[in-house]
This record gives sequence, C-alpha cells and structure tokens, in this order.
Amino acid sequence: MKLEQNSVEDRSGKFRVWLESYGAFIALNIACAAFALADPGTFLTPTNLRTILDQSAVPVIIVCGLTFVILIGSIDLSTEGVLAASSLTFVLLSSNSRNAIDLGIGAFWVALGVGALFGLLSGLLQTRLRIPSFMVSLGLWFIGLGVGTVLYGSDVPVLTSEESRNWVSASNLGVSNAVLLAAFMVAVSWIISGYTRMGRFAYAIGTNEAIARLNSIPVGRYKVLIFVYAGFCISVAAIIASCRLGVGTPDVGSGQLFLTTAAVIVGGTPLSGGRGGILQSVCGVFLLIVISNGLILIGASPITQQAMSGLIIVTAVVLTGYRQRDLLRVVK
Amino acid sequence: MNMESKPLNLIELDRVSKSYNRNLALDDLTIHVKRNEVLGLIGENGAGKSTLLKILGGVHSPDKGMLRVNGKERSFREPNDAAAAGIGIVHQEQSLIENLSVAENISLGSRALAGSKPVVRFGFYRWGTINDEGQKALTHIGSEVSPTEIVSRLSFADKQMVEIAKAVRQATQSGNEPVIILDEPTSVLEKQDIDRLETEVQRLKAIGSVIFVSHRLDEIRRFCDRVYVMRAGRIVAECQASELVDENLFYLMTGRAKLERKPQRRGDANPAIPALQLRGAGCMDHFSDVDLTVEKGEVHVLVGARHSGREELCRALFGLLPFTSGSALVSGTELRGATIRKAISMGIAYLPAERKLEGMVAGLTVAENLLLAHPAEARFGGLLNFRRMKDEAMRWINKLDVRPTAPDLDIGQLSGGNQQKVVLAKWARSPNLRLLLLDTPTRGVDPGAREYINSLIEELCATGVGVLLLADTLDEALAVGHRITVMKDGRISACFQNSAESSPELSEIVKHMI
Amino acid sequence: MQKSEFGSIANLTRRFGPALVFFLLLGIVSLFQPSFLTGRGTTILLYQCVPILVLALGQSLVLVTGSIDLSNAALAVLSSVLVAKGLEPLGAMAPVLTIIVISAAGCLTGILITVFQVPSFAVTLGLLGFWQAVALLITQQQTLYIAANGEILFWMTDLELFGLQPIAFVGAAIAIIAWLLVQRTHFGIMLRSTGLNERASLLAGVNTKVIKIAAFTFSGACAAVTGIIITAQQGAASASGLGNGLLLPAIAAAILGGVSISGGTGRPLNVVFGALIVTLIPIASVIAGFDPRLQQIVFGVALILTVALTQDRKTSGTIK
Repeated sequence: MKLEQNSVEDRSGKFRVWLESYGAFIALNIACAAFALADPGTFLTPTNLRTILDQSAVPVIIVCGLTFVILIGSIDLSTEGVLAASSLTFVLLSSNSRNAIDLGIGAFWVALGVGALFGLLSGLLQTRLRIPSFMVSLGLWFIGLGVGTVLYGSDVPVLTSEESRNWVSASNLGVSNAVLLAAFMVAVSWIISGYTRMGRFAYAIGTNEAIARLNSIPVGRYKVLIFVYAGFCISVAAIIASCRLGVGTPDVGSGQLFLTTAAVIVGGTPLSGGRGGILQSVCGVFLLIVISNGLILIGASPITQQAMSGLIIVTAVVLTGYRQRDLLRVVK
Repeated sequence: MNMESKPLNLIELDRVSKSYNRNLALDDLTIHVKRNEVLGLIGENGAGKSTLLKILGGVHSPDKGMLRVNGKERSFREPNDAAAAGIGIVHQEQSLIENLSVAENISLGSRALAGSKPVVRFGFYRWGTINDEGQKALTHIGSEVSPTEIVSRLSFADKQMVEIAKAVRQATQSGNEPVIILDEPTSVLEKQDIDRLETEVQRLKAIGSVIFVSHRLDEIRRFCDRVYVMRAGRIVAECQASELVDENLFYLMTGRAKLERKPQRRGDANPAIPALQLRGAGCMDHFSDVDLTVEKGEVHVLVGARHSGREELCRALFGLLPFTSGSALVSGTELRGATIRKAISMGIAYLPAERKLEGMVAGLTVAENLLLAHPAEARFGGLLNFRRMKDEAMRWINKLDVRPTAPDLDIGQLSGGNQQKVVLAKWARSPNLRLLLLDTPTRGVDPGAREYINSLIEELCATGVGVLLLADTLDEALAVGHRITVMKDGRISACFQNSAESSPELSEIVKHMI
Repeated sequence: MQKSEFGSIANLTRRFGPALVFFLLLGIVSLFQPSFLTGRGTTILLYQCVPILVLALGQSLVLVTGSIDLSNAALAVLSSVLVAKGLEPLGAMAPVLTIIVISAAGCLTGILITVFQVPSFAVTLGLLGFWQAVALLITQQQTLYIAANGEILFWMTDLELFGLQPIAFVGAAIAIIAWLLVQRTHFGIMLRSTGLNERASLLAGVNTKVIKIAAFTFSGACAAVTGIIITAQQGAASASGLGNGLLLPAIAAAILGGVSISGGTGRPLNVVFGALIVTLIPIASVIAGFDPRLQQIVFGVALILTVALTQDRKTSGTIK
C-alpha cells in the first residue's frame, strides 16, 4: 500500500520538477513562436534578435550572481545601488571628462572590486551580525546609490576614450562583445553551479540550512562567498552598461532590480531556495525581454507591456507553487 | 604504527556528562565499544540515547568527561571530525539534502570529499567519480537505488538505505576502523531490507564495530552481541543480547517508578453516547480499520512504536488529515470533511507533541497563549479587556502553579513543564470541550509539572470529557489510562482494561507493540 | 537574575528606541539650527511625514503577519490617480469609491497569497508592475490637475485645526486605528500569532488565511488614503508622481519603528516615530552640514545600524 501511494506522488512530483526546470524555456519558445506568427516581418529578423540579445546582456550578467543568492534562500535588493557605485567608479577611473585619472584596464578591476566589496559587506553583516539579507541589502541599496550620487557630483562624467565606448557594441562574431561577455559569464556560473563546492553547497544550504550544517558544510563562509560573487557580477554588468551609455550616472541600474529578481523567480528558482538554476534564470530574462520586445513590435504601448510582465510574474509564481499546497505549509 | 598494541576497545566514553539548559541529559556515563562487536543500545524516549549519539557524531561536545577512539583521546568540533575518526551515523531524522542526487549526498561534506580517491579535483567536482563512488557504496550494502536519482523522489525506505550507504562510506573512507551507528534504522524498512541490513552489520562487525539503537527487541537479539540499557542519562544495565528477557528489560528501562495511583472509573453522565466512536476508520497509508471508543470521562491510552499511526489518528480527528474510510462520531455527531476550526467548534481539542513548533506561540505572552483559542470576554467594540484577561490568566496560573506567576511574560521564557501547563490550560478553558486529544503531554516535562498536568486531565474527565492520550511511556499508560489500546503498523493490535483490580502486564503490552 | 534585567533593557529599547532616536535626531538638528523647532520646520516635517506614515502603517500590519506588500506604493499612486479622475463626475463619492476599490485590490492580493500559498514577495512584486501600468493607462501618462470639486479634498490641507492641517490628524487617526487593531484587540493577538508561528496558530484554531487577507486589505485601505492625501497635497495626480518613491521609505519607516521583517512584532505607535525619522534624516543631514548628496549613504547606514541594534535575534533560528 505504501508503495502505491509513493508512485502516485512520484509521478506528480516528477511532473512538477520537470515543469519547474523547463517551464520558462517552454514559455519562451511559445512567446517566440507567437510573436513570430504575429509579426513575421520584424520579430525574426537578425536585427531584432540582436536587439533582444543586446537588451538581455546586462540583466543576464546580473542574474548570474543573483541566482545563487536566491538559491540559498536569501534576497539581494542592493542591485541598483551597487550598479550605481561601480558604474561611477569605473567611469571616473577611466579616461573621462571630469578628471585626469586614467587607469586603463585598472579601472575595470577597481570597479569589479567595488562590487565584490559590497557583496563582502553584505555577506558579513548577514552572517556575523545575523541581520536578514532583506534589511542588509535594503540599506546597501541606499548606500550604493549614495556613493554613486556623491561620485556623480554636479556634472556628468563622460567616457572620453572611444575604445572603451565602442568596445561593448563592437562585433566580431555577429553579436556584440557585451553579448559574448554575458555568454561567458553564464558559462562560468553554470560551471560554478554544477561543478564546484560553491554551487553545490548553494543548493544544499537552500534546501535545508540545518541539514547542511549537519553535513559539515561551512554555511556562513559560503554565504559570504556567494554574495561576493553576486556583487562581482553586478559590477561586470555596471561596466557594460556604463560603456554603452558613455557616461556615468547613478540611474544606470534603474529598473534592473525588478527585472532581474522577477526573471530568477519566473525562471523557476523559488524565493525559498534550493531548486532552480542559472540556465533557468537566463530563460527567465529572455522570456521577460522577448515579451516586452514582441509587444512593442505588435504595437502595444510600453504600459501594456509593463502590465503584461506583472501578470506573467504572478501567474508563473502561482503555477510553480500550486502543486505544493498543503494545509500546514508556511509561506512567507 | 605498531599494530600489536591495538587497544581492545574501539570507543571508550569515560564519565561523560552533558546538560542542556540545566537539564541533565547524560549523567557521568561510562561505556565502551569493543572491536568487532555489535553493541545494542536501548532505553525509553528521553533516556539520553540521542544525546550520546550526538556526542559520538560530533554534533555536540560533552560538558565533562573524555572520549577515546582507538585508544586516542579525541574531541570533535564538527560532524566531519567524527567521520575522519571513522564514526559514521545513520540518523533517526533524515540527514540527506532532498534536492541533491543520491551520489552527491553520499560524498557530501567538505573534508570527507578529500578522501583517498578525490571526488573534487582542483576545486571541480568529478561527477564520474562521484557517481562511481556512490554506486559502489550503494552496491556494497545491496541497494538498487540509482546514484543519479534526486533524493526527494525516493521512498522513505530507500532514503534510509542511502543514509546507511553514506555513513558506511564516510566511516570506511577515513582509513580508521569504522564504527557505524544505526539509530532506529529498521522502523521503515521492509523485511528483505532488514535482511540485507543484517548482512551488512555482520560485514561491518568483521572490520570494525556497530552501535545499534532500536525499540524492537527481536532485532536487538538478532543483531547484537552486547546490550546497554539506558535510563535518565545513565547506564542501568549491561548484558549479553542472548540474556535479554522481556520482563526484566522493561523493568530496567522504565525503572521501579511505583504506580502511585490506579485510575478510577468516574460515573458517566450519559454512558449511551461515547465521546468518540471510530468505526473502521482509515487514513491513506497511515492507519486503517481502526475501531475505537472513548467513553465520556474515560482516559483511553494509545500506545505504539514510531510509525504505528497513533499520531496520525489524533491529527485526523483534529482535521489535519482526512479520513479516507470508515466513520468517526464525536458525541454522536459525525465528523466529516473536518477542518481544524470545525473540530474545535465540535468540542475537540488537540495538544500536539511538538510543543515549540505546534503547541505554543513563542513571542506571545502567557496570557495571550492561554486566550488564543477562546478569547476572554471583550469590552464594547471588541477591544480587549486587559483586566479580565489578566484575571482569567491568573486563575489558571494559580491553579496549575505556573512559574513565574507573570501573565505578561513571553511564554518562550518559561520552562518546558510550565509551557505545557499553559498549552493544556488553553484547551481546558474551552466551554464545550468533549474530546481531548493529547499527544505525549508529559514528554520532556519535569515530574512536578507532570503531577499538575495529570490532575488537570483527571479533573476534566470528572466533567465528562473523553480523553485520548498517546502515552510517552508504558508506565504512564498504566498510571493514567482506564483502557489501553495498542497500535502497530497502522492497525489496532490489542486492547486492555486497566483498573485497580486488573491491569495488563508490561510484557503483554510490549508483545503487541513489536 | 542578570539575564532578566538584561532582558528588560532590551525590552525598553524595543519599546522606546524609535522615539529616542527621533528625539536625539531632533536635538541634534536644533543644536545646529535652533529655529527649526520654533519656526515652520516641525510642521513641514509633519506634513511630509504623513503619506509615508500611512503607507508604513499598512505595511506594518502585513509585516506583522510575516508577509510583505511591495505593491502598496503602486496602489497609492493608483488611488491618487483614481480620486483625481473621479472627482469631477462623482464628487464626494470619488474618495469613498477609491478607498473601496483600492482596499478590494489589497484584499485580492491577500486572497492570491493565501489561496495559492505563494510567497507574498514574488506576488506583490508582480502586482507592483501591474498596478503601476494601470495607473499609467488611466492617466494616459498625463498629469491630472484638479479642476472641479476640489473642495472635497483640499480641506485636508487648507483648513487649520489647532494650528495644524487636518492631514496631520488623518495620519494620527490611522495610527490610532492601527494601534487599537494590533495591540488592543483579539484580532491583533491573532495577527501577531500568525506572524510568530503560523502552524501553532492554525492548530489553536486561528483562521490564518482570513487574518492575512485582512492585513492585506488594511494595507490596501492605507494605500488608498495615502493616494488621496498625495492628491490633496499636490493639487494634481500623476502616475509617475510622488507615490512611486514611497515604497522603500515606508518599509524603512516600519522597520525603524521596530516592526520585524520576519513577522510577529510591531507597535504601530512606534511606526509614527519610524516615519518621522525617515522624513527627518534628509532634513537633518542638510542642516547638520552634510553634503546633501551624502543623504542616501547616511540613510542606508542608519537603517542597518538601527536594525542591528534593535533586531530580536532570539526567536529566529536561521536568518535568511
């Protein structure tokens, strides 16, 4: 009798896992097919596909780090703040209109360091002072924006080096360097998630922190490491975004928090952590970008587009969670 | 390494003590595990077995005393230290990470990964090796689970086998002679799995030692060489497994605790309609064909081992699980499609075993917890009447001697016994209480509080309330129950009348439990 | 013995901490600029604080149950737009209908979360975008200026009662309602109980679903009032207006007011001080001579410090 019961549960369980893993991918394909049918003349053109890829580069790089944060069951609200701080650091240390400092490639490294530092601070405040990630990252959001605003000063710092301005949009292989860099970051993160302790322990910690401790996993250390990596990824995104804009501004990340967090959740990594993964999050980003791109192509206003993505998030969350409902389940 | 001076004992615990918040869990305990033996460990819940295992497994460290492994003094700071010393534990609660694969779970734990054949090289997992090692560990104990399967999709018994494979691998990987601790491993295993387990235990015995914890006497006799009996944090007896006799054993386990009172049958107000009547009740794979009657004013005790289905029976009556067959009548009214709130309105109350998780709300005050289910009369407009709340709380606090006598104190700051008094009082306040479901109300509760709790139960019975009680110990069952029903594997296996004139023998009850 | 004394000190900081921090800040401000206290400074502070306060009070109730409402600021914007749009055709019914509609939206959020058992963070994140878009659709991205029937709203800012604009009393009234709900009714006990231990509350017969839906409905009602106040203060409404920036300050106000993000604790009267602190910090850092651009940094640091000092770590096992 026990066995029968198990097999029934097993089948629905397998379906659930399958839906969670590939749901976003399937939805992405459906969305692409729908838009291709609705507007075959423009949606499937190489120019439009390249636009979609270019638009996705920055959020994809951010979710490379954010996915791990959500996998361990934490949250990171500081994205836009860290983007602002790293972006201005990068611009002000490259050849720019405001000062004579030009560290060249050094600016790149320092900006990455700023992101990692924010991540380190975030991780340490959480694990040492035992403050929830929500609060820590909320505070760091303001601090990052503040740092950005202070560095911004009164006039816009403009990147003067043509080289760095053009680098991101230059294309050798048919797609821009920004897209190539994003692809590289996805590959690195995918390897981290599947083949290193940091990645595997992220799943373990997110599944059950107490059992992870019982298995001698140094939970605190890996949490800090994951936040450092998330900060690092945000900096990479910040550099790309600033090069594209050609200026440094604290508003560089405006809207990214909403987009990336939603993409990770829609992709199939629940806020409670433990399941999901990088590729799902990338699918989530593409899904949201394709929908807004396609809706614009078929003539919907940006507002309709925003309303649609809001509804898609709600639907996705309801669908992925529906099978797990239980009388005594506690969801926050 | 001079092999000839190998000590006789693989593990020695010397005068070890451990207490949690002034509760002494291990009291000056001294045991040893010989090389190449299977040691049995038996004792009631709360006897200190799990604390002992946690110390051996490196989860907790002892307050006093010394631990020697293979003659060398050791102190474990984390579970990995114990694994490195060759100790592997199969936990009673599952210690597998549900979302990871079987093989990954088997080689989890950072230092165990750096074994003789590295599964992580240059910081990268070698999945091939991990799966091979996992397969090897599983084949080794005769399990047919696929190493690449995700743990959450396994059945409970398969998970148990993975746990065993993991513990065996960790302990044998260390290079030391392995000591495997099996904490009630058989409770969910099928017969052929148990046979396989026995083969594995015999194999391990040849290369190291095994500590076997179980409630099932026949298995203890079958698996073990020597047995320790624990009670209240001490070893009360040591004997050869073959010398174990039921009567003697239960006397040792429960102690001489005199049965001070024999339950007296109260006069029934309306004997025609029982407080609870179950006919052929069943619930999925938890229990089936349960026929049970709780008369008004009766304390009906349910005893049974883990997974006997008695907890689920209580939860189903309280609307937490659905009855899938049969019928349940509470004071003559059919209980159907019940929810918690409906059950409460029908006069059912439930005191769960997990007090901190389900019984009380830490962070609310004593008074608030007391009045959560049935609020005190409010003032105009639904505002709380604090004076009435306090009076009502003080009435119960004084009656049950809750200490400290502060209705405004966070209930989380009270001792376990005092917390339990408040949780029980919450239901005792119920204006239409008919059926009280008590899941081990005196577990982890000091004797003083136990006395108050028992007398409150008695008092409620006198008013015609029927009580269904899951006893923590058999002694308790005999001390408070008018009738004792034994459950085994989801079915009722026996029922005894218990009164001053005639009460069942312990061994008689035990026979139907295991 | 020592332990209990220590406990009571911690209790005191939780109880009076926010007020203490506020008056400390106010003291510092008046040291730098004594005229702040005597002049219009404090009343302006009060008026600026009201929208944040009302929104924060709604958020507090949701936080106490252990959920979060990220959509309430978007609902406030929607409310501000709806009332401006409805004032001409509907007259006095406009604010009433707005409150009903927006509360219903909050109720719907609660139903979604409890019936489908989905995390409030994700659902309200999606709804945040949705309601923003609805507000944009209604206004066609224009600013709506109030032409007719303005008197129905403007009494809130034009009249003077005891030397204060009526909006101050509206804020105070909602704070008192929230205080009564959380700390003076059985509903409040169930609210906190749900946030502290949902399982145990269910087993004690608390209808945790209804409790959560009620909290979200209250949050919706507060968002509606916030929107109406904003429209009254500005004399106009716009979908990209003031309300959008209120989400985080309102959450910060609730947290600084001692509301725990993990649920169970929160005193609405302290949220008043939380909202005052949130409003005062920018003013204070300017008066204290900080570069105005440092404001956000000061704010972020203050937020983390206050939380680090006041957070109750005892009950939380794993911190996420």
